[in-house]
Amino acid sequence: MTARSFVSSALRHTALLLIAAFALLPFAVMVSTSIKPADEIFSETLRWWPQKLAVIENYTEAFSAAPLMLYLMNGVVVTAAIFFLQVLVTLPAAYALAKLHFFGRRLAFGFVLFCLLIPYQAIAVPLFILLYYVGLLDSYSALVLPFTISVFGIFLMRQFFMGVPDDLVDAARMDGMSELSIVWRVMLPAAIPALTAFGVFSIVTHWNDYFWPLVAVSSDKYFTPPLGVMAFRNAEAGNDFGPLMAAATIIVAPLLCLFLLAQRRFIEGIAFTGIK
Amino acid sequence: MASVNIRSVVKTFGETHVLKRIDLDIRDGEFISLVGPSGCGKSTLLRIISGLEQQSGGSILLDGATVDRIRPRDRDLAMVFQSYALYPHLTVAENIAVPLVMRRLNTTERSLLGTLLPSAKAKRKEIAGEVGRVCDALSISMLKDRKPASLSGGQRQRVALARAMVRKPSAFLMDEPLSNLDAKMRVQARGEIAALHRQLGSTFIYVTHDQAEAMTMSDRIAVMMGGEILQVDTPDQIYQMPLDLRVAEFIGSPKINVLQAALTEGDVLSFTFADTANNRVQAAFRPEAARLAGIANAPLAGVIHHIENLGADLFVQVMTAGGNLVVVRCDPGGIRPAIGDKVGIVMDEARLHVFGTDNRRIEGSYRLEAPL
Repeated sequence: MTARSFVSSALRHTALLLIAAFALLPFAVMVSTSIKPADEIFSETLRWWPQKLAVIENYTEAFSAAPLMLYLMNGVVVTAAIFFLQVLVTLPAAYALAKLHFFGRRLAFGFVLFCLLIPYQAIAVPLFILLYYVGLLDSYSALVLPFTISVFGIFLMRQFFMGVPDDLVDAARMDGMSELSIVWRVMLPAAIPALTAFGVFSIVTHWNDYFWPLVAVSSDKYFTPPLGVMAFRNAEAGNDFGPLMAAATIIVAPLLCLFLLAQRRFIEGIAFTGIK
Repeated sequence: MASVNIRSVVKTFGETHVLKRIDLDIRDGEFISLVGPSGCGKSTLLRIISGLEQQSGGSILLDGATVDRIRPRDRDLAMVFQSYALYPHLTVAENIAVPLVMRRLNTTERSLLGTLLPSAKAKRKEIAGEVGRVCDALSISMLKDRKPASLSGGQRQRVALARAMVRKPSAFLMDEPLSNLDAKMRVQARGEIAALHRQLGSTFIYVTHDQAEAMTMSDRIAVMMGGEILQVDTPDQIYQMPLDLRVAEFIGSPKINVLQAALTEGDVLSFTFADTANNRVQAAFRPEAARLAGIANAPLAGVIHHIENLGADLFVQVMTAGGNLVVVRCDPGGIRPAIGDKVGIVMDEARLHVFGTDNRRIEGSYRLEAPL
């Protein structure tokens, strides 16, 4: 490596490190606060590592002051159900839009693109009223049902399926597969990278979603983690930041683990979509 | 075993007529090639036979019974695709087993829990046996546990063949199965597919744009152009008695020589004719039907423009006075001509083909005009 390229590479890395540090700062503050006792949080000198560690106190407080385990379980159940149902709807729809020739296909795809433009907050009130009339408010169904059809997922998977060769679909037809068998036996295995990418998007979105659970459920046995943190904050008098940040850390941790596990395939999925 | 009859099949995509009333009778056990330049409709015709594409008119008969309303899977045909279309997530053995699994196991037996059923186990064992026999026949047994991504082009092509064979279909449809192989592999695979046909005795319908593949493997060749079949005949007949100038030009390498000529005195061909001459025709002769000669007494003369030495043959390109490039095959053992030589060309009158201005063959025996 020449001196010049070393300098430019060092400069580039410094810039990237600074940006990364800036992005990670709130996160670091959260973790740091979660291990401090209450008096140190508001002390005048800012220190990353507390003089007196309060890990055990804060984290046991987080688990005991609110049913955090229940909220985490709710989060898992809701995000898993949403993703499962999304796949069930998305793959056949994307297959039809990518590989079948039917009257109105372009129009149908146009609608999918159009729906991408609608923010879901805009339809929250009609959805709420709808669920009220069906009598499903304040239940797991209220948390899951509005998200079963993911137009983003249909769009993403359709772009991926466009790159799957037509010959493969024809071969499956000659081999005796029905159209639905083709979706589950040929397209699904071919689409694992794209599906992983979609899964990460979907799970992160719905795990972190605060708005809809706040609207849809009121009894705390259906609370998802973000709601749980807030309920936690109101439950005790005053703002007990130590345990609060401990709870926040606990809630973020599963997502981090999931992303690290899926990272390689996730990037593959993004990179391969629409190419081949 | 099956005969395939194509009855006035028409295919249109909007305004474009891809197939214009195709009629073709394919006999049981025959190896027939559909050959033509790209876009001539040969692949569309094959897809219509398979049922993957629906014709706009006409019908397809398998063993005398119409199959127009029957889905591809129930037509008892197998297809080998140009890209092989192997399932990338399945091993070679699993790929080959798919047509049998989809036909013999019902939905419950195919499901995850169904694999525990005794009936499913018995059927899967039986299928594994059949897959094994096909793999042995094509000598790909050692590849059984590999995924398609780790195979070479030639190996993938064999796996695709095995997947088609395993079901023992009544006819094989092949859509340019060799075009993704390199030249050397292609010659080898040509021989293997022809041998496979002799051994199985099934009907083979083979689509290709490569006239050499069609010539070397087929019992009969159907030459297609512009959505029509121009001629259906044995390779010998197609080569020696082309009924249409376009057939003559498409089949044979190097290409047949075509010269404008005029018929005088009924059956005398003249290459030196006045612009006002009547009876204009197109005379064609293959490079091996001509030889180089002295300028005197030759009906055509020109200057040697280029010489292609292929070892066994010497193809001499002669630029005639009229500005046509004529290719003549020479024996490399004889006197070697040199570029720039002035030579005459003499054709074998019995092997002259004469076509009208509408490209149709004009039957008859012709004499060449006496040299100037």
